[in-house]
Parts: sequence; C-alpha cells; structure tokens
Amino acid sequence: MFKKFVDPEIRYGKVFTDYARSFRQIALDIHENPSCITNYFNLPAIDFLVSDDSSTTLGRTHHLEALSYGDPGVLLACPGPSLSGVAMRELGSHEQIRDFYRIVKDKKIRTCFALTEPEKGSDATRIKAKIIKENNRFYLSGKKCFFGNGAVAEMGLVFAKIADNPVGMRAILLTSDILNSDLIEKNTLSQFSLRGAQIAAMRFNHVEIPEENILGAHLSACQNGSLAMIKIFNQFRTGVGALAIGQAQAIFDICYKNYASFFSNLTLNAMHSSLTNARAFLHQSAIKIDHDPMDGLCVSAAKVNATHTAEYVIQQCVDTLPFDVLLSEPWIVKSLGDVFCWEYMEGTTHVHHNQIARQLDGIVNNIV
Amino acid sequence: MSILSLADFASSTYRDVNWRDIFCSAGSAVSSNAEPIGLINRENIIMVPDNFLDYKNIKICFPDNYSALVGEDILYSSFPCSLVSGITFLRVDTDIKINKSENVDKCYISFLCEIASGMYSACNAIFKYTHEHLSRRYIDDTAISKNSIIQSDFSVVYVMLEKLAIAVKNFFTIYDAIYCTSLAIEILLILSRLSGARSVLRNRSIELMYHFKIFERFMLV
Repeated sequence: MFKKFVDPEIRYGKVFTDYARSFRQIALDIHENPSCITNYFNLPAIDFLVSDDSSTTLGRTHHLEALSYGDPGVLLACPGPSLSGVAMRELGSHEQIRDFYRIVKDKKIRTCFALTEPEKGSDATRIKAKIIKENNRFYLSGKKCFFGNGAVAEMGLVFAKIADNPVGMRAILLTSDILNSDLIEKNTLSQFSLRGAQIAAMRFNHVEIPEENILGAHLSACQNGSLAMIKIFNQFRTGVGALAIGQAQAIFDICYKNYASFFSNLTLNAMHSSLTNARAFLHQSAIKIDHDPMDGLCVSAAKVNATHTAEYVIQQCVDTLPFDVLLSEPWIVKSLGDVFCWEYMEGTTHVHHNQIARQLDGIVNNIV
Repeated sequence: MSILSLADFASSTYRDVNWRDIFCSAGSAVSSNAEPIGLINRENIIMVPDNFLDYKNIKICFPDNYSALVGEDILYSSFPCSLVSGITFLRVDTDIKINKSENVDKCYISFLCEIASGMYSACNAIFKYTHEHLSRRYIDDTAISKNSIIQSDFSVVYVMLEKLAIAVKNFFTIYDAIYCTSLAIEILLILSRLSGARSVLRNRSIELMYHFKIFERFMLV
C-alpha cells in the first residue's frame, strides 16, 4: 500500500495552503480570461505577493511551490515584484529598491522582465536592444518577446546594451509613464497553455529614458553586465522548478485522494519519490545559491529535473485516469497543457545541459 | 510590421497546425456529404467539431455503423471551451447499443486513418519550418541547425516520421490509431523543444501535442 501521503498543510503550512485554495478556486476563470485577475486583487495571497521584498531563494522556492499548488496560471497573472524584484535587489540603489517595492505594494501592480529577444533568445550577451545617448538624453530602441505580463505590466525592467561589449548591458526601470508612451508597441501573444502568464511582444521605438532609470550607476561595469544576469537567473531558477513541482504535486494529490484505485502502488510510489526527490534537489540548490549566487551548476540540474519530473507525473496521471474522470476534472486537463511550458522558462533543457557541459571538467575533477 | 510578428518563425513554409483542422478534414473525407462528423468512443462519449449548431442532427461515426443521433440522446458534457480548441465532447445519454466486438466498421477505421494521416502531415510541416527557422538563426556565425545536438534531435525526429508514415500506410485497427498518436506525441515533444518558446503559442506544437494526448486518452477506453 502507498502510505506516504503528506497533507498540503503539513508541507506548506496553513497560511500558504489557504492561499493555494483561493488560487485554485479562480484557476479556470483566469485561464479563460487572464485580465480578470484585477477582480481578485483583494485576495490575501496577492497581499502576500506584493509585500514580498526580502525573500531568500529558498523562501521563494518554498512559497512559489505552495502557490503553484493552487494554480500556477493565477500566480503568474498576479501583481508582484517577481523576477524584476530579484533584479532590482541586485542592480538598484537603496532608494530605487525601496521605491520599487513601495509602489508594487501600494498600487498592487504587475511587473515584467524584458530580456528575451525574438532573434537572440535570452542570451544576455547577444541582446540587440540599445540605449543610445543623444544630446545628453538617453533613448531605448529594440524588440523584446516571450516575457510574462509585458502588455499589462505597469512597471518592469528591460535589458539593453549601452556599449557593444560583454559588460555593456544595463537594466532599465520601466515606470508606468514610460510604458504608456506611444513609442512603445506591445501586445499579449496568443497562448493556448498557461494563459495566465500573458507572454508578450514589445517594441521600443526610440523611447526617451530618464538617466536615473538606468540602473547600476553605483556598480562597476562587471557587476552590471552578464554576470549580474547570471546571478539573477540563478536566484530565480529554483522558483520555476518549484512552480512545476507544485502543480505536479497538486495533480498527484487529487489522484491519490480521489482516484487511487486506478493506480498501482508501484506507480504511486514512483511518482511520490520523484516529486520528493525533485523538491529536495530544488531546496538544496536554493540553499547553495543563497550562499553563493554564482554557483549555477546545481540550479541548472535541479530546474531540468523539476521540469521533467512534473511532465512525468502529470502525464502519468492523465494516462491512468479514465477519460470519463478527465471530463469531470478540467483542472487536471488544464495542467496537462500548462506543464509543457515550464521547459521554456529560465532556460530550456538544452541551455542547462550546455551549462553543465561547460563545467564537466570541474565536475569530474571533484569526484573523489 | 505587426508587433505580433516578432513571435513568427523565420520560415517561408510556416503554417498553423491545429487539432480541429485535422479532425474536421478527416471527418469530411469519410462522410457521405463531405460535412464534418463526430467520432464516438467505447464509453459513449462523442468528440465533435464545436461549430455544430444543430446538435439534434449530428452525424456520428460508430465503430460498427455510421448514423445520426437525435438530440434527446445527447447530454452536453464538455470541458470548458478554453481547454479544447475547436472541438467539444458530448455524452450519449441513452442505451444506444455499441458493438464492442473487434469487428470495426470500415468507415470508422477510415476516419481514424485520415486522422493519423493528418497527424503525419502536421508533424512534417512543423519539422520543416522548425528546421528552416533554426537554419536561419545563428550562434557564433554558425547556423543553430548545424549544431550536433540539434542535428541529433532532428535525426531522431526523421526516423520517427518515417515510422509514422509506414504506420499510416498499414492502418487496420483502432490500435493502429493509438500507436500513430503515441508516435506523433513523441515527435511533437522533440520538435517543441527545438522550436523554443514559439511552440507555446496557439496553433503550434504544444497545443497540438496536448490535443493528441486527449485524443489518445479518448481512444484508449
């Protein structure tokens, strides 16, 4: 018999379980129409998200899993600092960080993080967006694509080159004034799965940027460049893995509690072990990153493992449940579409395998 | 140029692919008047294009015959429309006798074979435009399609496409439909990885793979 079931309140705590429950209740509404998230801005879970200005990588990994257990689409549609918050903490001055978090909290705004470009992907060293200086004013031009909440965010960060070299990248704070400019074209792309993410395309057509919005004036070129990007992503990748695991854990729990008779003990145990292992891997990596944000090897492996584990568990559940049951469980069916999207957030498996491959000599040398 | 075009593939051969088109084309190909028809499984659940306005006269392909149902026979029982694209599911609510023997009507098999053929065609189209896209994208002056890992993935897809083509030509039973669907899902998983974030948008590989999975579950009863 499978006897290892853990109640979500024990795993996540009562508060986060309640938050998750509130997300699950609105999951299909948000999937149908992500912009209706504004109707739910009074949820305590959203108060929590917009107030999070100091979470560690491990803390985020824990709470993102718990909220994704409710519904990852709702979570991604929500206001909050998200990846921009991590980047602000890395690149902003004390005042910029304080003002950013105050506005996010007070106005409950959605944020975006515009790095990926249509022709260059998310390789920060190759981005083509540029900030140019003309008559002592700064102007931003370039194209960004495939990033969450781009067309609905009222604040965010965009990355561009201020000089054509590896350390010439800068983060620019986009305020609502800038985002409302006629010189920015933006639109949400048409998604079928994980629609709450509202991935977008955006084009900046010589948009004037106040100099104080170019972050990192107090940092060295090295601290601003692609090394900063590596640190930012390393601090968020376990969070994406946690979104995948939270969703898969929720599907597993529904299947165990309501439909266990359709599953063999072997299958239940295999899924449970995979999820537990993937979670421990993420937590161990998050602890390492909190200690050293450049230690990216472990997070790459943990993110890839979490993504694949979530795909395995959700597919296994869908493959086992009778079609009749699937018809009565739309949230499970929705998750089947969503789960394949984790692959594309914060680095694909190919990207992470490349990261690992580059460090293979060191890995081998460290084997005792 | 539209802002939405930033998400386009760099390919002259790109075309939208979706389950509804595959399903409707297959139904039209086997129906007597070239109109789309529905398909029933062995649990009396019907998959049908969602533009059937008159559910009282849905033509359904049964495993053992081909006939029309009347409205009273049908209980509307679908996923929310945001979870399926262009199709819906209905449940037959009366004691319609469905022959559960292995004698499957020729029309039913033809319908499934047409679906498998549409799956092959869709996978081929995605294979072609994805390869073309990656041939036009460069890293360090080398086309991504020339990267050995990428070439290995495309080679695996090629072998699986050949298998699928042969399976479509030798299609005789419901189990062949399940085999073809399973192959197509494997192909799409690799192609979606190769396509990157573009594959999560509508009418592309992830959406198609999702519908193939649902179709596989629909048939596997």
